[in-house]
Amino acid sequence: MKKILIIIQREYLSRVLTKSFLLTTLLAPIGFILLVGATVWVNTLGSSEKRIAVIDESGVFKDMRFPDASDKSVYFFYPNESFDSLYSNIQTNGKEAKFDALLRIPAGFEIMNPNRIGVQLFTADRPGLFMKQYLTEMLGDVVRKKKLETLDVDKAAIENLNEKITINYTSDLGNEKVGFTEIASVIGYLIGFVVYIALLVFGTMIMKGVKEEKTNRIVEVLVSSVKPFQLMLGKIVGIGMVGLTQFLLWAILIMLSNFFIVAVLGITMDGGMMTPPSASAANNIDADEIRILIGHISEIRFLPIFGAFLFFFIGGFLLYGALFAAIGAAVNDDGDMQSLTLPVTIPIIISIILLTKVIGEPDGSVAFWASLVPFSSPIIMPSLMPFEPPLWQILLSAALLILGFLGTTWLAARIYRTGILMYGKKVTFKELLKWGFKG
Amino acid sequence: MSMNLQGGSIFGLLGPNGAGKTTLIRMITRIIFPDSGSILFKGEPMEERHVHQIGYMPEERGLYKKMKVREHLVYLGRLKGLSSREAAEKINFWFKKFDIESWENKKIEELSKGMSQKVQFIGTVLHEPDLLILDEPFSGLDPINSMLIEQEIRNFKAQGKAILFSTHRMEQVEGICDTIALINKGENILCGEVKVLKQQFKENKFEVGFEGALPEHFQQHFKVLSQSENRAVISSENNTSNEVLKYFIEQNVTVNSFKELLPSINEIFIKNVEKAAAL
Repeated sequence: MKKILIIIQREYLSRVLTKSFLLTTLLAPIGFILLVGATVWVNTLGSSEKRIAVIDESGVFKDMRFPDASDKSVYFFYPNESFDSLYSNIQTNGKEAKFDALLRIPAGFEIMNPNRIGVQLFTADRPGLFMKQYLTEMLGDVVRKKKLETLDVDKAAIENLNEKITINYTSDLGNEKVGFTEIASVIGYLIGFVVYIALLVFGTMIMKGVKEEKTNRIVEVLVSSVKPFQLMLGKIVGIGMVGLTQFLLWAILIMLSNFFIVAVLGITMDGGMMTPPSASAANNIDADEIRILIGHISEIRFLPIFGAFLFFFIGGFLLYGALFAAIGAAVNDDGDMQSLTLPVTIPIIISIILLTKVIGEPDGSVAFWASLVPFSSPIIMPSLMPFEPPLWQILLSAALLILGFLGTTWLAARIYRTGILMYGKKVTFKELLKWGFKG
Repeated sequence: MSMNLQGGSIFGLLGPNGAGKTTLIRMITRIIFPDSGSILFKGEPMEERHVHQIGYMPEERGLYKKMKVREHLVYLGRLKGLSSREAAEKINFWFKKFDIESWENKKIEELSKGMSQKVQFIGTVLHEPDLLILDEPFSGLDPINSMLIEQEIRNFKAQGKAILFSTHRMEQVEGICDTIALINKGENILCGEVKVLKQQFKENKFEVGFEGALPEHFQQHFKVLSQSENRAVISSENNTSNEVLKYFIEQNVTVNSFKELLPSINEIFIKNVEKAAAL
């Protein structure tokens, strides 16, 4: 036991006390922020603005203006020119024309039968998907409104008809939680993703560490002092602690930056986040909704989530770490390593693919089974925690995970013991299993 | 296979490549376990606790490249049961002895092969083992370092420690080992003290240096293996060295040198491996 501690100490310190550890710990969140920032930026960039000239020969819409898109990516203007001159303008100038598209409501357009004559759109190049979709939705809205007016429906009644419905989700009866699912989903995804990345990154680290010991023949020197199993376990635990240290540092960084954001930017939040009211973009979240969502974050029970995250990360790490160590011990070159790593990474990747389905339907059967199978539970179970699954499911999953990692560690130790001192032999996956079960 | 190592002696384990030397050593160091048979350490069946009294330097050896010399030696020492402080003291002793105090903060990857061999040797003996197992200790060492290590091996012998020394380079065995075992294909084909073995396999060859002419009937008494102007190598199966010398003196030959030629370990080795192969 004392020797395992010495090995853990070396594996841990030799990784944590390096410049690269410090750099990745600091740079990863910056990279993450940049990634999110870039996504947001690309979204705001969206489509470049499209100017659409409207010519209403029918006079049906003469008393109104078409609403522009909320982000001004599509907007309308009403030139005092004839259709023919506008048409020749766009035809001769192409993309250089002073507008991007010409929307014509021909004479004889009937509001009660809009498709008999139909609205026409002329563009120099192909109209973008966003513009087409916006025009279809907008015209649909406008025509419907006009139809109701023509039918002499009271204006208040029209407003009333157009009112959007907000559903108040009540999952835990007597304990109202508006918009709770969204927040729980976001947190679930985030946790699942962090575990996924961590398993792959630190699993690979274990594998490479073991391979280094083998190919540099360090293990020859060490195995006369320690048992191969101690060496393997020491490495897995040491690297696992490196991972936990990194999480801890990130948590501290997040708390510090949170504090900074609230202190410095919190005041501007109300004004800054306010989006202009829009006619059609239903997916725009307005400031009120954000306030409600932020309110829900306080309703999430973070302590059990954090506890489950720790437990399932550690459990999953031990389970997969042992397998990665076994592969590192078995291989002699990088080519072998890649082909043998695949069977271990596939269940991790399947888990992250299942995550979408699981979060979409947290009480469905996929979620249930994926949260129990030890190969997927490290990612699935903590992601389910914000949805507050029944306690027995959590405990069963935890117990199965413990059995799971005891099993893989047992198997891996046998593969490791055989592989670590075997050189020059090309190993197949089948052979590994033979070492594991018969060796 | 059966062999016995004594304290205060150097035991050479010889054999061609693939004979099973490393396998045998791995069994002694409890890396692998024998299918049958037993290994006794100081009269007791070998157990895990005995591993701390063994220092093993494998033939293929490596160190963590990114670690510093001192740090690495402390690590190896602690894995052998030393405390950090004990390890540090012993490292100081060896650093001084090998005059390499300036290396302590160098990374292993900065060392030359010879330098890292020295570090490796210190790592093997740091915990003052009672049994030292060296697998091809001189491979890759320059003559000066070889001599240094050889001297240390002799020092350990003088301190009463047992040394097991595996090699396929015979000339080293001759100079260093007290006892040898010759193994081939996992079998012990020859075992014993070097002195005794040489006597056992001697072919009664003598080298005589002389002045003047040799007696005429000389060739009837001895088989002449080679002869030059004033030197002859002869063999005589039935005579002792004294009897051979007496003959020359009685024949009034001026003998200025006389030596019994004992077989080298190399010759014994080759002969026995060939004999074993023929069987």
